[in-house]
Amino acid sequence: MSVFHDCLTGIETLIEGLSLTGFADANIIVQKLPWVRGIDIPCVIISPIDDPVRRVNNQQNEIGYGCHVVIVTAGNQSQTAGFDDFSDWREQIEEELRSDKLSAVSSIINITIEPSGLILSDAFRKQYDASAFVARCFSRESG
Amino acid sequence: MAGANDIIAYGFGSWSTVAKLPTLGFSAAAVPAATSEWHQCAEDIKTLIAAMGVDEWTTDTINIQKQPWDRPTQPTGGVILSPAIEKRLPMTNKKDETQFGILVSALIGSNQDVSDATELSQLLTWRQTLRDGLLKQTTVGNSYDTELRMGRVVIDGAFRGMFDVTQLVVLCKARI
Repeated sequence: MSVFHDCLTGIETLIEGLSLTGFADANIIVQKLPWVRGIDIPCVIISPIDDPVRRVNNQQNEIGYGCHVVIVTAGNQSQTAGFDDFSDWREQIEEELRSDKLSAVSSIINITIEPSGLILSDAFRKQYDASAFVARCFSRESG
Repeated sequence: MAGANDIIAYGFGSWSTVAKLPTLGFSAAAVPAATSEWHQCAEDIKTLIAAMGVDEWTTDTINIQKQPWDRPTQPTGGVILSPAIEKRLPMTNKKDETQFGILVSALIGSNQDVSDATELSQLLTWRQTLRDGLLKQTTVGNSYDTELRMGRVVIDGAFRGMFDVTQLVVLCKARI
């Protein structure tokens, strides 16, 4: 098992623990890519994006595991319906990640949030409301 | 008049009937000896990867190729080593600091199952294994050090082509 996979499943567990209104646990899922395929919406998809590595000292490297969090619901191209709920879900998830620091993964020392679009235009055109950000989980590992 | 994509080489051999690149008149393609620094680095990285203890990675399934394409690697799993960036930084009158970039592509057939947890876990474990085994190496070619540039974890285009592929670039730093 890899640290990256632990980060992804750890984020999945944290989001499930928020009990967001309208989200079943089965629709909060870790996937290879943020594609809506075979799952019901609203959903939260957590997928790996990148993992830059830098040296910090002779014995350790710091890896920033980029975990892409995408929240998807049906938008039907409405400019207003569900907008406030959507923003609230995103803020709850971001705040939980910032405060918990993914304590279940022992090598993680910090998490930062890299916001992507609040409402993604391409998804909106396809009748979805989708919101995304990257939770970057910094890990110190021997190497 | 030659088209925009033709390459015209004046005075060289004859046009190939397969592609619009001129042959040089040799009866058989000249195969260069693997003495280039890039090839030495690639061969040593191949040896390192084959020794990492991953069942799918053997000397038969780790291929040094011109392009990171899925031939002749079998879809059961393998690694392709292909050229990436190369940088030269002037250092002294006799030597440059040269960074030879080797793109490492680990791949396996996936059938576009985006939610398969076992396959994703395997891909991430492979990636961590490669990272831990290729960083800060001093026995690769004439390199004194290696750095990594981690690529995308799951390559979207390859996934559409029924492969799970993860990539990174090894920069082999040498003074030559």
